[in-house]
Amino acid sequence: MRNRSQQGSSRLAMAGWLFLFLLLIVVISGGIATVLGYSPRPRPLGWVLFTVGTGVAAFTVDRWAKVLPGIFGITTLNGLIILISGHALNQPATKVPRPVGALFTVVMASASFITASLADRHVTNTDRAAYLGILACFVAMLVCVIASVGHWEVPVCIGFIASIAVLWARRFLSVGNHGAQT
Amino acid sequence: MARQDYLPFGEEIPAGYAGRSSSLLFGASDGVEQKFTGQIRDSETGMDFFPARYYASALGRFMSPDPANAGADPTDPQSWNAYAYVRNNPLALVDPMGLCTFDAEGNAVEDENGACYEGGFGGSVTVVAQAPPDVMPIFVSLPSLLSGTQQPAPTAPPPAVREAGAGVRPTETETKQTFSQCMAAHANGFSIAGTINHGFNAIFGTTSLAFENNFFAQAVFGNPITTVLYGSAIDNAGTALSLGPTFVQKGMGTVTSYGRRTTTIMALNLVGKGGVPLALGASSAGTKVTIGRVASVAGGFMSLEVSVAVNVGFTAAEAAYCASQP
Repeated sequence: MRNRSQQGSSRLAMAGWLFLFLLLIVVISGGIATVLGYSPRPRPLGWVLFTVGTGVAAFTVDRWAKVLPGIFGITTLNGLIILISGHALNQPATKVPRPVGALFTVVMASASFITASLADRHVTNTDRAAYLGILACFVAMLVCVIASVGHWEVPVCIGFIASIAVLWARRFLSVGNHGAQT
Repeated sequence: MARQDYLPFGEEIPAGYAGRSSSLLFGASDGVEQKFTGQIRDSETGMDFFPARYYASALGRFMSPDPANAGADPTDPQSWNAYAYVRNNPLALVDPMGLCTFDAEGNAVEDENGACYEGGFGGSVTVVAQAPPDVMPIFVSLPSLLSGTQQPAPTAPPPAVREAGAGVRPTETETKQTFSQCMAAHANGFSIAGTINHGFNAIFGTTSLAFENNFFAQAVFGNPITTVLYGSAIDNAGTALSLGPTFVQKGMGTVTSYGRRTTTIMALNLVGKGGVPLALGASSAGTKVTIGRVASVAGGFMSLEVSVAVNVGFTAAEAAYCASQP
């Protein structure tokens, strides 16, 4: 059993990985937006940011993947609020049909559970691709919203669910063939 | 310079919808306060300052009743709601002062009493305060009705109206945001989504707040703590009143019934098989696997603990910001 100082440093590290994950989203999406001309910054800078951000993201997958259950957990709470209120978070004018709210909540709760159950396992190349897929969805969401690209929701949602499905399959196959690897 | 489009009741359509790209200046900030129908929009509350009263475009209603009841007509149901905006017909009508409704040609609508100035848009609002006494008051106190002798006096116009339509803004004490209103107004900004948006803007020189106000972005990176405590207070209260009891009833019913059943079954099984130690001992491998998996999930959810802590931090920062507002 870990003592309090170890738990404290672990939480601090987790906060650091959360910060890294959000920073990666900003850096990679900013790089793409700059390359595409949606920022006044020079395009070469965009390429540098995109390359560096993607490289760091790929290299540190096993670190920032640990914060995904927490992010999806919060998202599940948000989904419940949306489901009950019937509108977007803090935006009463944006109505959200209850089936959509329910689907969103279920998908996010599933994502949270699956990523949590894989948190302590060795990250394989398949996992790495799936986690990068999730990151790519967040990046695509930010770029599309900032650049006012329309009709991005469906492709991004499909990509997200596909990434989660890969993780789910990995967990399912792992349990089926080898048992839990905790 | 910026460009804005509005829904019929005055809600601004954010950038990113139906081709409203930031390259066309939608979502840009130009510091111009005049928004829907040229009225000044309070950036903190989101309300439009019509000279006679405030208007909430999100609700499609004025925030105070028609000051003089000038438009009230017993035979006209659309005039009965003293909070309604342009007789609920914003596609055809406007209300430049918050007092009288005009059509596209500037003629006062349903104004047989002559309470509204006939000049239309440019009319002086002091005329409105001189509504004839035979206008039926909608909001009249019960004692005055019972006495039967009192003539309802025309309601005194608010200070802003007495300024003859000069568009004088009410004093700060009248418009000051409460702490809760401030928390609700800034809930989107004080969140991970808001931080990402502002960080992105600061680093890459963009100005859009679209990400902060996007449905998906808020759903994924929004702050549920502030939302539950302060967000959309009116709407949440209404929802809770209408749905709360049903949700609670259904939820409690499910938990109670299934809980009893599970407990009963477990008790019967344990009694029949020799109790907990025997049950655990007989399935030690499965138990270990289960405990290990639970520990794994719990370990993964430690990041939830961190995420909650981050959102608590955002809420605290927002509270500090709102508390510091004059």
